[in-house]
Amino acid sequence: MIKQFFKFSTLSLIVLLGFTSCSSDDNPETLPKGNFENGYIVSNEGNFGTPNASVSFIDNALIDKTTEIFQSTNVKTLGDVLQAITFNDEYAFLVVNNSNKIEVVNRYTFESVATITEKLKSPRYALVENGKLYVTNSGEKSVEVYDAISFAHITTIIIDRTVEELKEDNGFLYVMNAAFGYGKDITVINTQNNSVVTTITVGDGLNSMEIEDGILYALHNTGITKITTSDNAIIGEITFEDGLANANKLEIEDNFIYFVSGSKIFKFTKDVTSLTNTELLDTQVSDESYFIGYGFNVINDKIFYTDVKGFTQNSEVKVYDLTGKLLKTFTAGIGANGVYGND
Amino acid sequence: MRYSIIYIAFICTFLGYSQERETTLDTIYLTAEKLEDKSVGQPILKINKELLANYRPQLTEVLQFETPIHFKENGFGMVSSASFRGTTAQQTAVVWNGININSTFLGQTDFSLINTQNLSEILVRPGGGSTQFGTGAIGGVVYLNNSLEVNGENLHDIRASYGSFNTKNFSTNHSISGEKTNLQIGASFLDSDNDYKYLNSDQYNENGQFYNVNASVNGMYKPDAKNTFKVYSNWFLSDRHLSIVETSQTRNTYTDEHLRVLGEYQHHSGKKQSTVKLALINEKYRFYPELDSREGSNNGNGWTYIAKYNYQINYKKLLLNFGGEYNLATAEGTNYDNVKRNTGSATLYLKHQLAKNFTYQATLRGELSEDYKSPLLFSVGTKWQPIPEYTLNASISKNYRIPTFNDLYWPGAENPDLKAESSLQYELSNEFTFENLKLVFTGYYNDIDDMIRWLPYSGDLWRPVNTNSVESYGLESTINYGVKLNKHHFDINALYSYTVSKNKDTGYQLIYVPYHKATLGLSYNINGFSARLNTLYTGDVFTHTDNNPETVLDDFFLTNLSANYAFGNKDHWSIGAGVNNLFNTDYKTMAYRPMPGLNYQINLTLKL
Repeated sequence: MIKQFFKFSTLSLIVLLGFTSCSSDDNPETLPKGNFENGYIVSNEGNFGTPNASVSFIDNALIDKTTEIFQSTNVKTLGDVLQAITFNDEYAFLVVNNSNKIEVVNRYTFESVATITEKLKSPRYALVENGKLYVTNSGEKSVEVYDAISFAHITTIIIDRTVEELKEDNGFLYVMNAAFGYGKDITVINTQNNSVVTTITVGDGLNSMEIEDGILYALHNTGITKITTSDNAIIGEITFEDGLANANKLEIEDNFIYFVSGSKIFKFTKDVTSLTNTELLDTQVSDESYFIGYGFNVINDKIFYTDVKGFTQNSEVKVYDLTGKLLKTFTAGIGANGVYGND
Repeated sequence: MRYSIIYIAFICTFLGYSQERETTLDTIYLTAEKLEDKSVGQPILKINKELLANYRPQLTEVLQFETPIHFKENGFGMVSSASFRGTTAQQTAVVWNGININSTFLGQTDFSLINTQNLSEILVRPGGGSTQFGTGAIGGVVYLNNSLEVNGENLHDIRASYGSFNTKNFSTNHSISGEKTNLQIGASFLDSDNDYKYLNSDQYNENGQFYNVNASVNGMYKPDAKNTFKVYSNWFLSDRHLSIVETSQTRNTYTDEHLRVLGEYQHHSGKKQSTVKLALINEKYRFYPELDSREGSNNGNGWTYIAKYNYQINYKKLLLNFGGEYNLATAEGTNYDNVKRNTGSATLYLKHQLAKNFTYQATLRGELSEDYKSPLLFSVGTKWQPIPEYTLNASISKNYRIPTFNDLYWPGAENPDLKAESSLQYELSNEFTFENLKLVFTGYYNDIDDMIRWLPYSGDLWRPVNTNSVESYGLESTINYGVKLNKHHFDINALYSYTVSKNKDTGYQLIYVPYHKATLGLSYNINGFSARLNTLYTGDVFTHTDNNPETVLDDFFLTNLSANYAFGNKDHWSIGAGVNNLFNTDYKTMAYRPMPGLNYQINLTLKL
């Protein structure tokens, strides 16, 4: 059914393209960039050791959903463990961890553009900045740099310790030296000369980072450490109050801090000095602890939380408004680990 | 329960045809030596050496075609796990000469890592067997047997075969016996590139190569009628690359090494008998995430020591057996910091021939362990043979599976309340035996509780708890028919099983449990020539726990054909050829893990 819908929509797109190309002088603005514009991209990592990673698409109005958009567009499987997706204006870069590769696709049509495998060994996260693609490469404990247009490998930045999430601001690249609950440092790299500038120690159990208005927020076991990206100095700490534990997946959106702890979602204003154990909402999801709160994001006034159901069946994506009201739930693929806006 | 109506219909039909005959039951001495002797109420499937030789050396294939057990394989030669009567991979006990050899690390057996070429026979007993064989005997028992006998013939059997994917197999078996002794030596080597092409795809099985070596030495010394000494030993070494799903993936490999030694002394005097058994099991593995590099490798090395004592007494038509067992299992390795598990158990067994045509047995087994709670186990089996052509078997048993080393000793996850998984099982079986026809129809119901799962405990800690319940029930039927027309021998063996296995909370069928499985074996024999056709049907299986119809693995038929010709002086030589997956079926038993298409092998055997 979904496939048929997809075929139909592709067909209609081709027809539409045919027509619009004839009449493009009249109204070029109506040309859609692709089937997957104006909506949300869900990355489903799939089961480890199995090529069942997939990507789902939910439209902005939260009405339509398309599953397996990479497979159906390119008639091939995506790979083994889709860890993360990053975007530039044109492309989506799908980091496929256990396939040692990055699939580059047109972000709106999901048509395959290239597959990067050079130097990659267990890649984790990626970002594009100034025409360069930076990838944390956990198998080599390095950050690999590629040209974001030709996809040619440019250089390797050796970190020689755990590399996980990465963020960029003010010409600095921040690489989390922590994964799976272990680690407390952030390595700072100068993107001008690809050299390590400093290492900032934030706190044990460092698990996620966000940058907003020149401040890097790093979430760990005891709170959120704030670092200025102009001089890489720690400027403060937002501490947890009693009862709050196991917080992860930090998101900062429009002056609010969001994160999850198990089945609960928390929301605080950005300028608080401590965090109370009072949740915005409880999703009531129950699962083995490693799987709970597996995917979380706040995009366009909506909160996305995924229930991966132990990786034994398709995930459910729950969508809430910013007050915590459940708007809709969608079925995604196996192990939904992230949701990304695609406007 | 609706099956009972079908049974009654069957029984009536066959009773109508039957004739009165004297019963052939053993009325002199009851014994409890062999598996058959201790299986009152539970029919057994026997696979002898000749039948074993028709199949590839890994235990999976022969059981797939000859028993109701369903297997899921991560590609050919890769990890292979059993589902017996709808149970999980940890709920089938594999027993080697009376000793349970399921892995202490994982609680299960990888059927790709059991070589059948140095065994005398394999016995499969569906249903509960924990009172006899301990942990995991919930779905059933797979019994690997080496039979030792004094005063037998000297036998030498050497076989070499070569097949598709550069598969080389060599095996040799020797049995030398004297008046008081028997020595059996066997070795087997298997090596394959295993790089088969995936059907309907441009991919092939990459990084799937493996080799393994198996060696066994078994001996018996019987100085007089009263005393018997036996020693069994088996060593197995395997190096197996784990096939990858995409060329860009990192190539890895996995090595296993198993050693098992069992010594047995039996003293027989009049109606009394004592048996002492001492066993040692060593199980080693190492996983190399990257070929040719020890970096990041992880390993486990487990030793199990078993001491058993058994005292048996016969009194008229009653047999009583008292047993005690001490088991010490230890492990060290990447995730095991010299952990130890002590277990002691006691068994009381009784077998009684109440009437000429009615025998029953009952067993009680208690177990003590410091690390988990174990239920009191029991089993009762009855066998009623009102007429020679018909036997009604019934059994009820309580069975269990103990927590694995991972469940028990994961740092920080100890749960003092952890119990063994337990099951209560009921089984009724009808056997019809005619001159060259045998039919068995069995219905069972199995209620499995306290299934172990890891759940959050507090904060970021999680630990194993007893949670899910599973209910399984079904039907197994087998037909064996043999006919001889002059020099022509025909044999037909067929099997059908229907299995329902439901998670009691959700009502969904367990994943990778087919509702339907059927096999058909046809063999033809004339003088030195024999041919054999085997077909397996496996029904649809769910791969998602919510029984998502879009991710079902399709049902399939798989057919193998083989032929053998014996020649030379006294037919010492025999040459054979086999075609596997005759119809080039594209099938999988595990999602995304295609199995080989059409493939061939030839073999040459010398028997002296």
